[in-house]
Amino acid sequence: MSHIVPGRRGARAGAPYLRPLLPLVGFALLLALWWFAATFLTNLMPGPITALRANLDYLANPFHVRGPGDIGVGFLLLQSLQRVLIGFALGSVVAIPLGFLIGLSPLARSMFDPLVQVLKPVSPVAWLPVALAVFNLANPSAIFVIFITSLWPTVINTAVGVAGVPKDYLAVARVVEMPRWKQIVRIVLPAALPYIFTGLRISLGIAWLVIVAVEMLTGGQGIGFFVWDEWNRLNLSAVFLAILLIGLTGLLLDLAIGRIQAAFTWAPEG
Amino acid sequence: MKTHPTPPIAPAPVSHDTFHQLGGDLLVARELVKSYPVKGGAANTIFDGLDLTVRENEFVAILGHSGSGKSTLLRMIAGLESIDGGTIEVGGRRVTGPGKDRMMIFQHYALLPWLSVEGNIRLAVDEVMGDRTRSERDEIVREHIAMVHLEAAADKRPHELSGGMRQRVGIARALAVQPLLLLMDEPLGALDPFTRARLQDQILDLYYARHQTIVLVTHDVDEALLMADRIVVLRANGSASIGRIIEVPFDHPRDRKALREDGRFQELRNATLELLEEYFDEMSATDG
Ligand SMILES: Nc1ncnc2c1ncn2[C@@H]1O[C@H](COP(=O)(O)OP(=O)(O)O)[C@@H](O)[C@H]1O
Ligand SMILES: [Mg+2]
Repeated sequence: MSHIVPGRRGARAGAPYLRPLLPLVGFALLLALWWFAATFLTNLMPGPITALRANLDYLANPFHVRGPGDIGVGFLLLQSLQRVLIGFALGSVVAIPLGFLIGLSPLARSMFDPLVQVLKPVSPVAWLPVALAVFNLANPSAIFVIFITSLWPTVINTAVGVAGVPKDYLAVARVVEMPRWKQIVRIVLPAALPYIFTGLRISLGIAWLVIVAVEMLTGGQGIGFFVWDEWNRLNLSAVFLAILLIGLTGLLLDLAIGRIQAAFTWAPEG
Repeated sequence: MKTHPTPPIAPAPVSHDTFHQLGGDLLVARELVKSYPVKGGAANTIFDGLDLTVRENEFVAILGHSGSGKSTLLRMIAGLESIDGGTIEVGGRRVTGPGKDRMMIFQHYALLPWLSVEGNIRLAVDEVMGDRTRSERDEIVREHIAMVHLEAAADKRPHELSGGMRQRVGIARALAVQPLLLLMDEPLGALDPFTRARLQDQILDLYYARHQTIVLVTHDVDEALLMADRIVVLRANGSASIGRIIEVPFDHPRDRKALREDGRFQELRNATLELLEEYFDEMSATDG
């Protein structure tokens, strides 16, 4: 947990065992704001209690299937997650070698760097029509957009990490006459690994953002389309539930990749 | 040993004890030329015809100001830097690139942070001694960890070690592959004076024990006088050349305390410092 304000004397003088409760206070404030908005400002949205009551069925049966249009949110989340993981895996498989190439070869750098710089600022959702034209199917198109999404942060971070391997590390490998391919595997790869993971982590985070938008557009089954569908039914309660679930899932994804990163990279200085 | 007439630094006959016999020429550099390209200008010529010979079992220090070309010279010998003219031979073989007959010790240690002490040494041993059996290589690694007294830290990673300990790993890694020539580029430059002194003594002990030929780059006059048989002083006006070669007349094994009281040491120290000052003024004059 990062603390927004470092503990001042007053806070320290207070009970330290109350500290873990502070996040709850933050959530409570948000709920209060929501409740305030729903009750006093407009009658257009349900308050927290109403929303919770309306969502009891979703919460109790996350994995039900009562027909093509009525599927539990747990299933929908898993389907979105599956698209993200497939697209992310495919993207990473392309992005990491491409990043190595750009980081290792000035020739490849001159060739691909401008390309990456131009494509990087494009919202990945803009690729959806292209994907639909090619695949003619919602699911592969969504995966393709996630694939594109996962490319740029990983390519860029990998290239930076690979190009930035300290010259001395390579000098060590050269004086013991290590073959070039082995230098790449045994020196460059481990030295660049923290950068590669940074790229992967950013990619996965953005992919999870993008999948919601993509599914809103493609329809089908997924948490993104669920959001859009429930809005069309004017069921904002379910939208609030989806927001919470999307947030929690994103958090878990980030924690998971953080764990993997910690297991595969060496401890930082200090 | 003769006392110093004028000029104060004259080649003195070196009296060598039994465990310190110099052999034939191990390193022969002839007519070395090196220049770095400068953007939109004439190339920056570092060396223009430099000659250097190092004999087997000799300890040579290269002394000079920052920017005088010490690292460049050492890296050319290591094969890490290209040569624009002239030749370097080590053990009769022409240097065309890096090779396991010349090991380097780096100022900033160059330890791989994701490997343990043992892993760092093993990486070099496995690469150079691929033809030995696994257990032979294990033994060599173990031996060299013990040589620098790091048994207790063998499984630690570099960031858990002090600077002095890290450089001992660097030394163990370089010596483990049994090079003909050990090259050190200001290896103790980043250490505090006490650690520095202790490591100087340890390097000298290894030098005696292993009859290792060593080229040490330093800008520390005391270090050069304490350790080396010969000091090559680089002089950089225009391009770098050998300003003077100082024969260090003290018998091995050297003792820093005894040397400190030795009048000849003080004289030689002062004369060397004066020489460096002279070269420094010269260099500043050409730069400005
Ligand atoms: N890679 C390089 N490119 C251009 N100039 C360099 C490079 N390395 C060293 N030089 C120049 O060569 C000269 C000698 O440098 P160096 O050998 O590092 O000196 P020293 O080790 O004695 O401090 C300096 O003027 C430095 O600017
Ligand atoms: Mg230097």
